Amino acid sequence: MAPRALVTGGAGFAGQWLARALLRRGYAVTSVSQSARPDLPVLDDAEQQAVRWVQDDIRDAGGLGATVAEERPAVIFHLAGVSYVPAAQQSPLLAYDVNVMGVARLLGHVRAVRAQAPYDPVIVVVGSGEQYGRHEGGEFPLAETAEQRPLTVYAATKAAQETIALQAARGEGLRVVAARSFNHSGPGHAPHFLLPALVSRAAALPPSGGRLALGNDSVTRDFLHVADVAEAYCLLAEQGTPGEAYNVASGEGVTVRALAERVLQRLGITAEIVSDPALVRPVDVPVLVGSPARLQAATGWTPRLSRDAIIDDLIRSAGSSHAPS
Amino acid sequence: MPTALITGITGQDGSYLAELLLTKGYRVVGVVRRSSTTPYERIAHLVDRIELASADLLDQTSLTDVVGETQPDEIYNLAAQSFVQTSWNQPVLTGEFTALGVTRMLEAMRKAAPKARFYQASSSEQFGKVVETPQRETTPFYPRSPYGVAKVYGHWITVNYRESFDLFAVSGILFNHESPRRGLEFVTRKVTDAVARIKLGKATELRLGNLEARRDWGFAGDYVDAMWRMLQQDTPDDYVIGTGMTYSVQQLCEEAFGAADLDWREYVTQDPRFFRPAEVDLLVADPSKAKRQLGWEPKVDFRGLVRMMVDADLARHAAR
Repeated sequence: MAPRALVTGGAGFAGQWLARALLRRGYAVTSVSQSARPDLPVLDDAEQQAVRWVQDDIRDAGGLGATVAEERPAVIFHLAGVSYVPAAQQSPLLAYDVNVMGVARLLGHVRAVRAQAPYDPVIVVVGSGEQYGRHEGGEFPLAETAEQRPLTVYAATKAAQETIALQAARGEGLRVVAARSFNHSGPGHAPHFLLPALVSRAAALPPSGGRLALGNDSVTRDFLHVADVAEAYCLLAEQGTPGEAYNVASGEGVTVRALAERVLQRLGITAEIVSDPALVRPVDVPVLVGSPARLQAATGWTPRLSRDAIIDDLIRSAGSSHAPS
Repeated sequence: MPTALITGITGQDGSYLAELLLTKGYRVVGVVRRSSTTPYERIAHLVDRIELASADLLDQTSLTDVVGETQPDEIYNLAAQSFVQTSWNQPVLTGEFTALGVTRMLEAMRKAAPKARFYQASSSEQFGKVVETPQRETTPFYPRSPYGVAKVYGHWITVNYRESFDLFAVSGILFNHESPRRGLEFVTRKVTDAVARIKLGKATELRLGNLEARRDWGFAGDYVDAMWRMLQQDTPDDYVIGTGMTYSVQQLCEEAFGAADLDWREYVTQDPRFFRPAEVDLLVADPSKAKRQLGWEPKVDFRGLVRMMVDADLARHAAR
């Protein structure tokens, strides 16, 4: 029988890509997500049919526990969370409830099942490169040993989530593996995130003579294609060491300006890149680049898709959005 | 140019209401939750003409900020956990969204835009185990699901804020209203989507709950017009909106399969898993007050509605 994987936030952006990767690896997949019949822009019909979709909310104390008890999944991927940095900044208590208490509730459900009968799932908890906060030039790319200095509410929620999850590994022997994912994008990513926003705004420009406005264009980030990130999560579940945290990163930084220039190039558009103070986030980490050395040593993972491939995929998917009846 | 703020703009009613208000020259601001994907399918054709503001019904500060920054003339509170079946699995969270969310919106308006006009989306599910038939504005509520109970709270807190703080706040008690944009979890859309799949060879059967259940089904596009009319009155008041006619789920199947030249009896089976723990009685509206005072009447009948939905689902599945 196929091993069962449970994905919280499985209808989200990375969640759908992970569901696809798991199906291809032969897992039976259950997704738990907020909406009863979510829109699933990433998955095709056959994939949508293959996944069991359970409607639940990570804030609800009871529901998810029933799914864990009933299915006893061999692997649990915890992706449910407030994922947009400004949204967490706007509603901190909500973000703490979802991102921090969420993992505490999930672990509680696993403990409850373990109390009844032997049960030892692998639990991959997905955090963020944002957890590192501000670091200086010589430290990049950041290793997992770099100090965590959360600068935003979002980063603090993810650092707290990881602390709670790894305690369960150290103190109770739960097989928890923590991921710290750096920026990733691809088809299906909501247009308010950095790279999809750049692509959709650039694509709307005339072939030449337009202006592309950026916030702080010297901000440097580390980008992966979401398909490579989903692959890393699968490998961490199969080969990661419980109690450890792993960067999921490319190891290479790119400034937002260079990214914008590349997007324009791939689109074949000539435009002036200008700076717009209204787009500058009030609190932002200047440089975030992570080292994937630990992940590579543990699992052999290596990214397959280049930065250009991410951009090209986003350009293609931006062109295919359709209006409803 | 008047400004309208809509919660639940990504839903069926929100998208039709936004279209209507745009044709009337409104500036339309929609409240959305920012997540990793966008449930914007229903408003994809409108995104260039509306503004989106980020807030969450569970977070008071975010709502007050949005109302304060937007300074709306009209607020339409359509957001809710809106599926009856889900409300049994998540009774507490349904209360948070569907009941307390209304109070949070009213508080936001009272503090940040007290001159605005407020529309609360009440529901025929509030009548549940009906005390009289047809149901009108004076019919006592007897909800039969956590969703219905939460909606009764939302209704009364709207009335209470109107009477306590002299706010222009109204509640529209809307009977079932459907469209090609109805969520797939609702029975009408579940049926028309299945008809399209079966017709195109993508499915072979349709499992449904109680085929005898009867509902008063209208077209969502007609109902959002009633919402707008309620906010244009001189004095705030509550209205029942429905067609006054009912059809059974079985009749829905006959009409929908018939529209695709199929015989429903060959494909539909009853599945007890889809029965409600407590079913509502015969819900049928008496919309005479709305007709009299708002000049409102439904334009699309049951047959026209079902055919519209089947045609849209056939086109959608054929295009895939």
